Amino acid sequence: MDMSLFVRYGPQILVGLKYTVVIWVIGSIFAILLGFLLGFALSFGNRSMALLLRGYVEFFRGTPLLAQLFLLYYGGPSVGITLDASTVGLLGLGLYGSAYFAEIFRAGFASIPRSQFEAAASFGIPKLAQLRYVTLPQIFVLVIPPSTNLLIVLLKDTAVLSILTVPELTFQVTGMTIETFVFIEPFVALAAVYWTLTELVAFLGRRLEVRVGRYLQP
Amino acid sequence: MSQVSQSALILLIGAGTTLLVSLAGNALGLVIGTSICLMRLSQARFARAIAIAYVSFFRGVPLLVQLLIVFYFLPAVGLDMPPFVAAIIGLGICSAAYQAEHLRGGFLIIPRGQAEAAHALGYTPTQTRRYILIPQAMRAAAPALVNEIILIVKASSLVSVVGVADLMRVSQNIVARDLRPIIWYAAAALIYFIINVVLARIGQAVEWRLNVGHVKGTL
Amino acid sequence: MTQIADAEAALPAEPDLIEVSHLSKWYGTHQVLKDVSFAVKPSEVVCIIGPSGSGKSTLLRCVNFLEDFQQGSVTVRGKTVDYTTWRSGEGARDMRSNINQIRREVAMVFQQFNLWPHMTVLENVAQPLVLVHGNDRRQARERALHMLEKVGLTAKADEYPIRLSGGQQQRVGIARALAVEPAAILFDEPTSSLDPELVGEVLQVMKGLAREGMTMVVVTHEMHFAAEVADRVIFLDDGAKAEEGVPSEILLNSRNERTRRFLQTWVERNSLFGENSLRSAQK
Repeated sequence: MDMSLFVRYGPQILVGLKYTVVIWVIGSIFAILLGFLLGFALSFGNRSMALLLRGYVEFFRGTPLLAQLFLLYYGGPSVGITLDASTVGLLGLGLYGSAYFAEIFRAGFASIPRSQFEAAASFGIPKLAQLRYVTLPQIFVLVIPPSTNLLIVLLKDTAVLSILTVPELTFQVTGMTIETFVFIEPFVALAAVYWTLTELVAFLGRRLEVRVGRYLQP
Repeated sequence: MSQVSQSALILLIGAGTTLLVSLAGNALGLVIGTSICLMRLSQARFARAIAIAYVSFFRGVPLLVQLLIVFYFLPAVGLDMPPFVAAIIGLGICSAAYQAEHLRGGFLIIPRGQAEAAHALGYTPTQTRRYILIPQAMRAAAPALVNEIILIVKASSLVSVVGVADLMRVSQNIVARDLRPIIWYAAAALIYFIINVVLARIGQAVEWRLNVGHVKGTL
Repeated sequence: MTQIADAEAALPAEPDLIEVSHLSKWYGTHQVLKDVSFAVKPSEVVCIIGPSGSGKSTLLRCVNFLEDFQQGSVTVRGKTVDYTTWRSGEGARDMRSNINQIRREVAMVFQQFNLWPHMTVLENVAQPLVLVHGNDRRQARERALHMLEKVGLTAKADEYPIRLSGGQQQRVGIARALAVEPAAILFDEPTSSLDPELVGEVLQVMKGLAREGMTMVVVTHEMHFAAEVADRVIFLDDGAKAEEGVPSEILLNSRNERTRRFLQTWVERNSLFGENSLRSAQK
């Protein structure tokens, strides 16, 4: 295989890598924050709000990311939402991820036994402080493994954005293969890059699990 | 037949293709996944290493990239297949990695005493695996395996990229003519949703059937 | 170097059915079995008692190779598996074949019953007959039903284990062991997982087996059982055989300090009845 290919297309690939990482990071942060609020609302909010949010969560979890992106990108203009591909990619990934994070956080909140809240309440600790000092630290440990998993899923799903012509990594490499008619090696190299990234995230996740879970070690 | 009902019909056919590709891919994934799982659990260090690498790779690389590789790789080695088949192979290879892990979870949950009783009675390792371990592992892994089918249906939306006339591709074609993206993409999303709900229901029924009289919470 | 020792060639008056010779086992640097030797003659009932962690179960599980060992040998009905064979690769096939044959002749009853939950009670008892002993399905079914009758559970033949009480499950476990017509049965704390009220039914079955002349090696905490049924009692302490003798010796008149300490509470609680249960142990 011609290594000079990579040299020639190097800059483009780096641009793609930048898009991938940036969209992934920002999209994930958005998804975590929104997901946390949703999870909280689902656990402690009133019935009608919970029902509405449940619909939101089920929609984003029950349909493919691609369908959601198409709706937003191609269908958006019809209702006045005209966004460029990258924004749609970012927003779409974020909304998609938020539904899954909402479930993770909801399960985390649900795992705290009622008695914890009673104990805090009996000491007269206000709700917000309860949340900060009692609830959150505990669900943190529980929430990390599925969250790490989800972050890896979101990283892989940035590749789907290439279908919307977002200039991320897969898009750049696909463009390269189309121009040069060399297909297999670039895609395999692309796979290797993703593999490295996801293994890295998984590794960091495991380290974090250990660090945060120290207080559980007997 | 009006334009709209014609398009609706095409949409349903596309849904059928999606289901077909997904189920076939899932079945292939189960077969490959079982082998990978047995390799993962074998005594041979080499087999274990290969299985671990397989699972790591195919869970660590985006499905889209995997499909592209399979799509271009097959003709390169002389296997000229319609995109439909290439898609099934791609989905199967990817799903196998996940199903192998689900099955492994099923095996790990079996109490050690089960195999010990078999060994104590003179069962060969093959007999122990076949009559004692695999049935129980399958039963334990069933919920995860059923969920896998649902995930594959969603993931199959990507085969539209490699030229399969699935639900996504078909709805794209309709929109190209009809120029009303929201209706058709929303309809496609709804169909995916309904398929998932139905599959989830079937999955629950299957689980219930498997567990009746056997399980009181745990194995 | 021949790997198969055939004891039949040098027959004393009554050959040992099971012989454990100088068995030692280490977990890493920790020695769990220290040069343990004992023998079991046909129709004998040998009870192994001792504190938790003394290695009783480990010792028993070495007899049918559910645990491996680093030194010593186990001989069952003339087939021997010893340390040198195990460690060297030579004769590995012979050794595996010996292990297999030993497992076909010696059955085990487990503390956790270990019934297979995805098969009915009848299938649990019948399957080993089909898979290991070559019976056809009909023969196996008949024999299985016969064994279930023996333990009093014919009515439960088509139930799944999950529906049975602990005592019933253990009796099925015994039926499963009996069905393969073993030369001896190893019992690994068979009643330790049972609610007190269910212990009796299992001990009843075991006593019946002993009366019929089944060779049994029983690891147990049930001193009554040992007193009533055992021909010999072995006291295992910290991996070593501390004492061995007839029940009356060991349980009531032990000369060994550690044995006495271990049995202290039992003897106190039973001093009133101790003499009576021992009298009934005269076989």
